[in-house]
Amino acid sequence: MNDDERRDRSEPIDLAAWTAPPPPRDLAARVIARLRAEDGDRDDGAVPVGPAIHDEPARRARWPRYLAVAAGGAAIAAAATWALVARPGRTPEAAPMTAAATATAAESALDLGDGVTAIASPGAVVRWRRAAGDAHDPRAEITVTQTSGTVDYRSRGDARLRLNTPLGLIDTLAAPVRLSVSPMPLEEDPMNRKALALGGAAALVATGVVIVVYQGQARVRPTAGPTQAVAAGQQVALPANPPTRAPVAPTLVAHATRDRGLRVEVAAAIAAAQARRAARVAGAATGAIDAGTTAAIGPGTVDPPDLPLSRDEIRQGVREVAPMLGDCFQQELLDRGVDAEGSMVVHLVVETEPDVGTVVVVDDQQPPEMDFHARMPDGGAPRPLLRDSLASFNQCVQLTLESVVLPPMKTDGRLAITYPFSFAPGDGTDDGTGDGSDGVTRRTPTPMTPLREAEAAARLKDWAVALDAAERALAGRLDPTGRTRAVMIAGLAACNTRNRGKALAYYSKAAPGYQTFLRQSCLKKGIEPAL
Amino acid sequence: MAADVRATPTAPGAAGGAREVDEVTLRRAQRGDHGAFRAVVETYQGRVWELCWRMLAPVGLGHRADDVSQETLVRVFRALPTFEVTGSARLSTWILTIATRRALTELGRARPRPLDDDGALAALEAAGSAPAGEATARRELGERLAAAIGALPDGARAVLLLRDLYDLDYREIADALELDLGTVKSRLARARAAVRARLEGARP
Repeated sequence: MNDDERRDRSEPIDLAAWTAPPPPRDLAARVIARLRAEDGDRDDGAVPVGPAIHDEPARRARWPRYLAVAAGGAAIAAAATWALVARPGRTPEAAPMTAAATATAAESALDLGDGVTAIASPGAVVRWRRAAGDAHDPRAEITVTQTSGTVDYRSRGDARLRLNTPLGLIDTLAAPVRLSVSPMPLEEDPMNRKALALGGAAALVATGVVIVVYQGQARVRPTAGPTQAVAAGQQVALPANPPTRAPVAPTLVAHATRDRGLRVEVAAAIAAAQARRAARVAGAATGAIDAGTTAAIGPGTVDPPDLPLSRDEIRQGVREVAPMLGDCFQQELLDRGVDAEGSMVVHLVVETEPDVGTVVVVDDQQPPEMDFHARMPDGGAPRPLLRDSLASFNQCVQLTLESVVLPPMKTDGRLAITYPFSFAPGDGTDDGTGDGSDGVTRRTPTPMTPLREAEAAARLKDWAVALDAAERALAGRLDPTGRTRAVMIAGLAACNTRNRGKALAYYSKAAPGYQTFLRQSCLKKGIEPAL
Repeated sequence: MAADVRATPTAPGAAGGAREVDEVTLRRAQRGDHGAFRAVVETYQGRVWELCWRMLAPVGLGHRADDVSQETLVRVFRALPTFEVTGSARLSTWILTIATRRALTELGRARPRPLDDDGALAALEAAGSAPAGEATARRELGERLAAAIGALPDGARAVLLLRDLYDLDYREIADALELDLGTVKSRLARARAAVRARLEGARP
């Protein structure tokens, strides 16, 4: 004990009774397997180990944001894998850094630093380098080499972004752009069908690189052909010629997955940009934003003439985010133990903002109609889920839908869209019926036991369901631990439903360690269970 | 005679014992030798897992302990060349520092909504791993400890665990959490007082 400890009069807490479960038996094997996979499984067993100065605790350096992203979301690591390499520089803040990523499955988000975010579709391969600015131009410059796939780049800062493609260079300054690099004819690449539809130019069919600029301006310097400026809302296809650079092979890698927090940040940034733009438009010309007609499109109707966007264009845009909607369902309901299914109808408004392009916002005047039920393990009648218990799921869906990218509208005005979705546990495939309603499914959960059902309902504060399920659990066979939990949930539920008789009964049966908590909950509801 | 191998709950700080990996193995691991690093992982994985679980489970994120442990150990491998073998810091302390930071990062980004005002459900979840056969009194004490520690702020929980479970001294904790020495002491004192108060309040 040193002097500090001697001066500290508080005695240590004996934590010996708080046991932890044993570590997974295969933890070491998985760590080694992951290192081998990331390092290319070299035969000699020796791999180059990056100094990784940001990881060393003694230097008190903050990890770069992209490493934080790379570390996150390992629970869905199997769904989306990024390969990441980092070579640190002189200092964490000013260091030029090089990194590479390969999105192998689901869409993934990656922070390239200095406010630049890349959202990559499956198959995208990018490598980037960040260099600090100099005395003449202090803005950081991020150079990205993208050799395949489709990536959306967005910037919240003023970093200079240089995109190096096999067919030329693109320079942007804080301009959101989408870059598609396809080793195949574009019509074979699903992501590029949309780009083709945007321009409608048959000449693009044999082209491997398409860039769409959503805001601001980009300068494109093809390896063959003159430099050209691409303004907001425009796209350009680079003429095909042999690739000038070999594909990038990452050497040091680390798993990462889509980052929900980052996606929220991106969505917030987009929303903020949209709001700023709307304010500017409104300030410059009062009433201008309402100019034009408001058209409406919903399921089961025939496209009205002169509609700014066709039903197919909208459906295609929405279906691009269908996997993310499935993630919302999985993470906000199924993974929380709520074996739910149901449907919702979302009201969207599509508008054109001059500097942004086509924007999609959820209509805040018309809340979504939601009809979800918790499925009963015994095949009983499904119980409706309260709207409050769907709040986080709804928020996730709204954020996702506002990230939908749609082609430019053919006419001015505003388009109101009513879009229905159905959600059900399944095999993870999108079974959209094509009738205007998109089905979004996820894994089939294991049947819920009454105790699990009670726990899930309690988390959702659906106390009536929790009480019923807990009592069914108690009527069945439970081990002592399960019985303790069921009694506790039944007690909490009884208090919260103000069932005094049951509250007292379950309080008396509750484990002593839980009685204090239970009493506090009951007192909040005006029940003194200890009497 | 076949060995009786079974997974049993680990006592605090007991997984892997206080053993440190030998210098030769450590230097080989620093050069990127996967075989040597496996020995490092096997030596420290229990302590890393325990710490991650204890940081995350009390707030309902016990299911993330596996991933956070794995992330920690991968980061350890990447950063291992920067560890000074002849320095004063123990490798275990250095690794636990990385684990603590990873757990705090996870808590910062993935904290679920409060399950209940008084944390009772969180206590249930944290206590879910308690073995059925364990003595009732001890199990209940563990449940009360889990609930009390789960009610602490993340930073205070980290300080308490590093000090009272893993025996890091104040300077090591300050370095690990990038805090002033005084802050560590005050947080520790407050954390201990809060846990004691909740234990007293929850005593049957």
